[in-house]
Amino acid sequence: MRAPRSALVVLFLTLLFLLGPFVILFWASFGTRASLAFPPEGFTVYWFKKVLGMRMFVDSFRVSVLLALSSTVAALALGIPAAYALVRSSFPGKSLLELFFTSPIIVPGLVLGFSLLQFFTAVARCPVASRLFLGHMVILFPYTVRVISASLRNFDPTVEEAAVSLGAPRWLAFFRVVLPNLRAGIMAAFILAFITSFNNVPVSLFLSGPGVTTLPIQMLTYMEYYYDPTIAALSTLLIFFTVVIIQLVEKTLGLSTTLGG
Amino acid sequence: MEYLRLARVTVGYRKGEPILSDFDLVVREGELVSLLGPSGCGKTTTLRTIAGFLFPWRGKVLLKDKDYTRVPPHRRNFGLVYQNYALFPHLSVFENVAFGLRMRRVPREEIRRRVQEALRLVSLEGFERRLPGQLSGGQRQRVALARALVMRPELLLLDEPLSNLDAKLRAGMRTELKRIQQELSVTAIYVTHDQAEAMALSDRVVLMRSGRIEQEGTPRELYFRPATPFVADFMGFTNRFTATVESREGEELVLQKGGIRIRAREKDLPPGTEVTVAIRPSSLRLSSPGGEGIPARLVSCAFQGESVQYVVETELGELMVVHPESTPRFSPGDEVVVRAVPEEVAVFPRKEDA
Repeated sequence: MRAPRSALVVLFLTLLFLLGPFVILFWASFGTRASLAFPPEGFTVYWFKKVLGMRMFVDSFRVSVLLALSSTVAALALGIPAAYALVRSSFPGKSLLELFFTSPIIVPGLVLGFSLLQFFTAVARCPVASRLFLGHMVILFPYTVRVISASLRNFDPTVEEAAVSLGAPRWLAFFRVVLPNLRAGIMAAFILAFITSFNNVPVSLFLSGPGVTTLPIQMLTYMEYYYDPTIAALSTLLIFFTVVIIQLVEKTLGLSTTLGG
Repeated sequence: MEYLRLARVTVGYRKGEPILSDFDLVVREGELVSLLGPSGCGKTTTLRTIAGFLFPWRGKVLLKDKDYTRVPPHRRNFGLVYQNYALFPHLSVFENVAFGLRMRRVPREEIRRRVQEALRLVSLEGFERRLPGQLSGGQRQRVALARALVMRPELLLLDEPLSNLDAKLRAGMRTELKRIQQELSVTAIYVTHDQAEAMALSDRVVLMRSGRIEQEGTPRELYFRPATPFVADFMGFTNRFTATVESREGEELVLQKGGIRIRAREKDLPPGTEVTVAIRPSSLRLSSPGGEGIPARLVSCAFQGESVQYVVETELGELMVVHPESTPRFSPGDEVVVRAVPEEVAVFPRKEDA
């Protein structure tokens, strides 16, 4: 069935509304004026060169990527067994525990960031890098548990039993049969967690410290002082960075199954 | 020869709520035994206990006199076939079948040979490289069967393996399953809720009801000599009413209710006993009024292809009659007489069961 014309118009307007800001940002990042303006005047790639040459952005970008990668991997390493335990067994207080696992999603980021700061300064003093890592892991963990649980629920437990009946001990059945079939869920959890960490402001804001700052925090700091196309150029680069990563994931692992499944 | 024995097994999923209590079951070597019963009767629990996924709280599981009660499932060589096939979706047909052999570290060459052999057995040669998602339901179940059989299991456990297939395919698979089971002379336990399937496949049927064995025997015994009203009901004795034993005449028992007399074969019941009578629709015959029988009025008739199903109203209540004929001989409103084939009338003393 073909969609009526009016629906197509709505779709187009929605797209325009969603993509419009990006287009403006993209365009503005090539302007020659020293302040952010629209429409921009002239054409230059000066701001891109400038961003790539700025230590503060290059360093914080590296911090953000490393932080996102490490906290995502750690959250998955904890989240997969947690999800497995939640889905495959029943014990008293299970639903309470499930609620607890989702609480960091419900609790406002600022509250979480502040309480983590309190915790790290008052109870567990540790270096800035490791408290950022632990903080992000805490935010990402519930996401991984949620996504992996969903894909585990779709995976028939008898398949695992079949593996056991064929001579595989439980743990081996998990690695040989369950894990390969969670691939789509794990990829989805990975992307979701990585992006969540990479974008995070509230928790990073509290936990960042001298010398170790994530890119979004660095960008906010910069914008407090300067309002030039540098940020627009950086944002454009980040959009391309994300598109490239998603493309890579799709080429190698098949994102359609990842996000669709 | 006795092969598998469950001895006074008590087992369940939740503490204090056993599904089976002091359950005994014996399976002989090379035999196909069906566990038949409605859902919730404990048949799957029995199978899972034998497979080792449930450990008995009390009692023992013995195979060839060896105690398997505490042997973990991956150390028992029992082949399992599930209703939903339970194939490994990420592995090819070949790898699915080879999985168990790889777990046992069987040499490469032997794996190849045995997998080919198993696939030949289930007529799936040439499908080695397909993924389960690319197969039809019937093909998937063949792969599951090959995967279980390639291990040369000591016991084949089948949990409603044909329930997900359509009726036509089911009949074909049933025959094939029986052929393979006999060819390999593997001892098999078959869980089903389908009476016809159990009849067609089994050497012996164990009919279960709420965690107990209601009756066990050959398909013919259950079909013709149900021991309880429950078995009778399950075996299609859908017409049911109460009556009183009037007398014995030779081999036959004369039952009576409100002046109506029905004859049933044997059973040692003294006159005056209150009984439940159960009769299959196909054991009843309709004829024009006159002679001995239950006077009745025809309520409806439905054409069913090879037979006609009549519903008649009698003093005993509504009865269903199935005649093997292609054109109805009576029409609604007709006065008729219902007769029962005495050998096929099941009689149970009352209060024994509802």
